Amino acid sequence: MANEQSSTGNTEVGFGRRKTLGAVAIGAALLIALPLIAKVVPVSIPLFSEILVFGLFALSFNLALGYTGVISFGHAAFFGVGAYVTAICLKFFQLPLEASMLLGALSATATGVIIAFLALQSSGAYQAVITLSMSMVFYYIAHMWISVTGGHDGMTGIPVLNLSIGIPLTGASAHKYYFILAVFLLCVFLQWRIVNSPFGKVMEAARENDQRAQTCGYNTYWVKWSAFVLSAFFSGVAGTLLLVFLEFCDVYILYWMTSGTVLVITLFGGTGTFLGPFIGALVFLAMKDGLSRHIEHWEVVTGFLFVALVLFLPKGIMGSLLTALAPKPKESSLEVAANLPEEESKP
Amino acid sequence: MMGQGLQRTVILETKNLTRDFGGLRAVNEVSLQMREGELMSIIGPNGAGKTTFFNLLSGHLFPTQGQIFFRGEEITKFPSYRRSLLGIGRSFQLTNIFPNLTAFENIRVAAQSRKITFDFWRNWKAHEDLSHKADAILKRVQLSHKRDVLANTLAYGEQRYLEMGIALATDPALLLLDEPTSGMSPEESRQTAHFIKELSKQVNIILVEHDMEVVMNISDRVTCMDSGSVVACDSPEEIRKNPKVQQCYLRESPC
Repeated sequence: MANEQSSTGNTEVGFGRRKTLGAVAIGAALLIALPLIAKVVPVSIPLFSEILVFGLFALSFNLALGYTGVISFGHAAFFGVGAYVTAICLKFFQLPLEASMLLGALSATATGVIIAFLALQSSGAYQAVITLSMSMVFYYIAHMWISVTGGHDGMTGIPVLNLSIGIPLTGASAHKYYFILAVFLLCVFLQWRIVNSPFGKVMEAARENDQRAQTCGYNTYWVKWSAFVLSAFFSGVAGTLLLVFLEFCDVYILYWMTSGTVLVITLFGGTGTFLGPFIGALVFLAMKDGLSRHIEHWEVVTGFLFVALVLFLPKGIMGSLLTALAPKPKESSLEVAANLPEEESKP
Repeated sequence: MMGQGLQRTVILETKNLTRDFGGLRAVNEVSLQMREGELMSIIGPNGAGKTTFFNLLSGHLFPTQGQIFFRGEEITKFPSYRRSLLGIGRSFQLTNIFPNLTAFENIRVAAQSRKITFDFWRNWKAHEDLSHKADAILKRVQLSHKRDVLANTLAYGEQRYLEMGIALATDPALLLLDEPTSGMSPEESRQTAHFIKELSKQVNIILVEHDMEVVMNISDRVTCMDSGSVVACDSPEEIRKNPKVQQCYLRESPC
């Protein structure tokens, strides 16, 4: 009975923290060297900027969905509020870029506070519907308030983006890419700290078994609330980066499709892993870029791929990869064997 | 026995505790006292209201009427997490663990609840005392060799022990065990009974149990419930002889 072995699927334990850190370091080095690589190999810097933006969005979304088990179909609201508030601060108040971005992220956090209160009154499908409908409220505000947001045409006329130290962030420049990358890496570092903190462990406990976590003495309502608000904050930061990337606001940022996209990206990459959502963004956007050049309705192909992925790789790309790479449980079965006599001799 | 009992402080007391589900009275005016140092068992036929009574004690259900006091403080309206923080731990009839966390993490996160929740910055490993405590408890529930195995891949009996470990990690003053031996083989049940008896030297325990052998061997006091009410509350020997208790079990036996 005690021989029953386990470790398949035990990716977090099997792969280990050190290897994860190594993979992150290599990935970060590649991203930093990208403008140099682009001189030799034809990679598109704007495509990678977009991957960073949506990658951060998906990582932030995963704090709620993957780590805490809170379902949200309304993360477009935080993404969009981040982008729109930054744009409004820049266009109407002529604030510096940094201050505008900060206000954008804080507004997204405030939005998160409100939606968290409403969404956490329920769970499952109801939670999905509440978050979805709340986010659509913001879509309609942006759609109707034409004098400020430009409505359906989107928000244009945003002043040229400049860092306070005088570096312009325009077009497809490497400066812009590096700025987005710097904010991205900072946020990934902060998220890494959070998921490995004592609080991060409580998030997982609340996801795994809410009732048990409560019986252990955790007020899981506030745990989930806090995780949701953190997720909203980081999604807001991703939204401000989207504005830096696009240099205008498209009302479709707030549309429910954006919430769907981030969900699909996250599931593509794998919810059970830290960096899976980023890999999801990489694959999804690269695929979109490649397919949309040749096929008009590229979404159809993506849809079929998504179905195939859910059927054959339910843990997502990253989750399945880690499972495949996880060391086989040789060591631990020896350990079990060594422990057997002791167990049988217990009183 | 009586005199000795009276000198000990009351740790848990219920007064006329009642819970209705629609027209069904699952727990009917139960008034019980539990004293420090006691291992009390609750027995009764299926549907007697034992688990409902437990859920009222742990805060998973709230009573329709009546009050609950823990160490003299009224806790009737406290949610379950506050009762846990006060020192009431419990295990569940159906295995209730964190399935996709390792055995170690299951216990460590329970231990962490006594110390810290909202620390977003430091690494969890920085709290070394919690890791040591988790390892000590893993050893106590005989799961050290399964430390880094996901809880949902443990054998059933191991999961039952893990669950008791989770409850123990919260340093309870009172431990509510809901049928810890359910689904175990007779041999495993005997081992578990021994384990619970050892445990009761350090922790106050209320046990809901179907296995009469376990109950009669290890309890200091036995409460028999039937149809939501207390039929008798006495020492195991007296309970065995009690005609009312015999009757409520006789009625249940199929014939």
